[in-house]
Amino acid sequence: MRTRFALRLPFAPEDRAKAYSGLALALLTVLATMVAGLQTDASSNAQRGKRIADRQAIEAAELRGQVELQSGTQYAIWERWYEQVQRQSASTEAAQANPDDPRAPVLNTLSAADRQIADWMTTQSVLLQPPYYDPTTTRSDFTAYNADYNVRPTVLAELRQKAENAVAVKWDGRSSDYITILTIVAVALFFFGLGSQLRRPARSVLAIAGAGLGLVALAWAGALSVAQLPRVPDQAIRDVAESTALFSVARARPNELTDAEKATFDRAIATADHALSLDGTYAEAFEARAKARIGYSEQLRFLEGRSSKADELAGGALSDYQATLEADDTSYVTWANLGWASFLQGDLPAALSAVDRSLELAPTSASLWVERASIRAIAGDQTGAWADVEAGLRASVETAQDSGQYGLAVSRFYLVQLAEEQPAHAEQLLAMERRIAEASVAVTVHGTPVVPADVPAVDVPSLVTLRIAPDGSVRESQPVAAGAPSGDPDAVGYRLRLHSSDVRDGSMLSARLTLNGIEDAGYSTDVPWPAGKTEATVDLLTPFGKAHYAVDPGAYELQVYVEGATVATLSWSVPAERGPALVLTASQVAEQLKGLSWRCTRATNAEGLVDRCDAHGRGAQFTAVLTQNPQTGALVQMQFVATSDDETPVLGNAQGFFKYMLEQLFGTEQGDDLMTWVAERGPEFGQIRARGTWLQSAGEGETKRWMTILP
Amino acid sequence: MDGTDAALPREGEQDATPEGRERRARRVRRATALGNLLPAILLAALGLLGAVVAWRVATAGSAAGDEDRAALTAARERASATVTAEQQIAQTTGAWLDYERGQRRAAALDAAGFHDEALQERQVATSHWFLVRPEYLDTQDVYDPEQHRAAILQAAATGSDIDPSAHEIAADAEYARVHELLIAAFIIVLALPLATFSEVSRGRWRLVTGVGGLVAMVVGASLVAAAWL
Repeated sequence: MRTRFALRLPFAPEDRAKAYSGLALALLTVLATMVAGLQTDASSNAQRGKRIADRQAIEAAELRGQVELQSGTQYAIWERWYEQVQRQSASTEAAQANPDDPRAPVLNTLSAADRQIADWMTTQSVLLQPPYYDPTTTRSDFTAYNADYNVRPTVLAELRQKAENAVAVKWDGRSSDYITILTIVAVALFFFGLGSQLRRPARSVLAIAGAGLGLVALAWAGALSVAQLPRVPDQAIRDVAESTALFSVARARPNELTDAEKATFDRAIATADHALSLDGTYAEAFEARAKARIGYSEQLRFLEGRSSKADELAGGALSDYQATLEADDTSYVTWANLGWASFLQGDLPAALSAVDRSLELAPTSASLWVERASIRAIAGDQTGAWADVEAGLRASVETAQDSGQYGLAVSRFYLVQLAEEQPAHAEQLLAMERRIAEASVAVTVHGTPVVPADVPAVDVPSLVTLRIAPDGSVRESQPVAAGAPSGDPDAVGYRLRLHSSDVRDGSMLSARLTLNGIEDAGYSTDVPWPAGKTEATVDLLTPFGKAHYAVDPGAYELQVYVEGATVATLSWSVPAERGPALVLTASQVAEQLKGLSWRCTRATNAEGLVDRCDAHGRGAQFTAVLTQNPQTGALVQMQFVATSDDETPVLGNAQGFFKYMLEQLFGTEQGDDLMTWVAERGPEFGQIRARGTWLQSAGEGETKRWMTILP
Repeated sequence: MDGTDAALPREGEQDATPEGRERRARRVRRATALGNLLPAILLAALGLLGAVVAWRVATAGSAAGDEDRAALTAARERASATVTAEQQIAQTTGAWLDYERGQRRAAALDAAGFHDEALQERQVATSHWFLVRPEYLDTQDVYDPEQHRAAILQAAATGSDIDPSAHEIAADAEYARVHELLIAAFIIVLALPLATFSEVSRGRWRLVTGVGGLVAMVVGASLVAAAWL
């Protein structure tokens, strides 16, 4: 009985078809309801994920603003600390220069107070504490601070937001898939509904089609509902943020590459590697590794020459950028970098194709145009290269975003590097660099990249170093020879003299100085040519120079422009070791004085090995006491004394003596300004920093003066 | 197929009296009427319950969306307040450092007996004081930026909603409700083929599937009620 019951369906034969149709419709309705439920659930998850991503975006923006302001506070504390150090130094020097001045005790008190305040201020900022502050060099590592407090946290927040947003987008996609499935179910329902009203064979065909569609929908919905949505592991996100922070440290100085920076590049690459080991499809990890590789590659190549390692890194960057693009990160930056990586690999067609795509997406980026111009120039397309240069210049003027001036300055650096590497194309690359440099000047002074075709003839009679005299005035010091080292230890800037009878009155005269290939805007000067004159003078002085800080060592190149057109180019170098400025040792001075018939004796006392030389003449006694370290020969001090035989003022004799000695010791003929200072001091004690040494002056009444030189 | 077969006397059943046969016939008619009615009622109830669940899912989704928007508005307000706080902290820090430096110089000059110079330094220091918020100096007269930040955020909280977390919790609760309602809907919808089978079948099939559908619907309705509250 049970067997019979199980096998027989309880439908009357004449109703069976309708029963089956009804059941099929019911089952499809169940499927439709479930799919609709899954779609609603996916949509809810997408909505929730989007909310989380939006909040993270707001928090990332908040964090960026917060850390920028906090960094500003840290820099402001550092700046005040530095001011304290300078105040302390100024008070000390002022007190030492005039120990008998009634204000000297106040200055000494302020000096001590400023020192204490400076020490206290080191407790107020992380920039003045380890690991960012090195007390032995009194320098702060701003790059490391920026990486730790700015780059890493903000990049981390942005990456997390991006990852969350990606999950929300995937939920959205799944929701759309469910809607597609619902549409299929609706068609199946339609087939069954229609079939139930028709006779065979149409009924059977529609029923089979409806069942087939229903099964497809069921299988698809089932597969979707059990599939896990991929989510980037948080450790991979942290690795990418770390890699980006390391890259910012390694890349801080694009024109230098130390062993420490190489190691940091390697760590940045390894950290991105680790992120990819956790999620092999993480686009941001590919991009972070690509940036580190391409940055390392180009610095190696342009600073140390092309090598297998530089090529290997460029090849790796190329694959990484391709992977980034495959992961749907199709920003113009990625295309541009892909083009640059292809170019470094030597694949010019691929490089051009990628940069073309980048320019389609960002036609207002001046540096992109110059990048393509460089590639075209090396590919032999001179016309195209020049067209791109002009397009880049137009873009720099027409767009509000100033990829213009900054981007072009960086581009010029690479053009010069490429010219050195590619002698066959050097002429055009350097011409392009010159055109961009001229246009940049013209944009600054006239707001247009147009440069006059007729260049006036301008001579450069002289370029000399500048020093700050004891009275605060700017004085010319030593001539600078083109192409030669300029070793003036007290040079704080440069003075340029120009001569021309062709330059029209009021024409804008511009000077741009590059140090180690990078333009130093602190030296940039734009002045009108003096009316009615055939000569013009340009002083190149930064605020540091005006504060009596010596110029930095490095390779200098000065470009001079009239109305944006180049009229002169000069280059020289400044060695790192320039002081103290003494060109003679104590022993050599003694020997020289002996040669002038001075009586010299040598003795050793507690201060060191002392040569004492005496001479008499012009109604005065002259003495030189030259003390050096007996072991190393290093200068301890040199003292020169002039004493009148009677009550006659000795100043005239003393100035002649001191000036002669200074010019011998410093190897210059620039002793006059110091003698003016000696005369102005009178017999009072005074001290100044000069020629990389300390110079002290004092006397007793009008009959005795002495001058001491200390290292 | 009218569904009456299940109520017919089975083979071998006998009723001796006419009254008995009449009673039995009435029972059969009642049972037949109930049997015909159950699937129809079940299907109608399923339709009604489905509509209610769909409405509740929609309202929960809408409520979740509202809370999401409120959370984002609060997050924006909080971000604005945080950046404002940092700006004020930066300004106060600078002013306090300048004031403190002047005071320390003055104290050193006083200690050395240079009272006139000390007074000058104090007067210079006051130029920075107007930007210092003394309420945020601790007992050692050291500026406490954390306290300042907390106070600014507290002040912002009294003027506007800057706490997104409360809205997020409410939104997440609504999302959870949607999820629970959908699970309930899945169970309820299982009653549909059973009710349909019951509708188109006869005899025990009708009864068994009808009861099965009823049970599924009741379980689903209970879950809906639980999710609702």
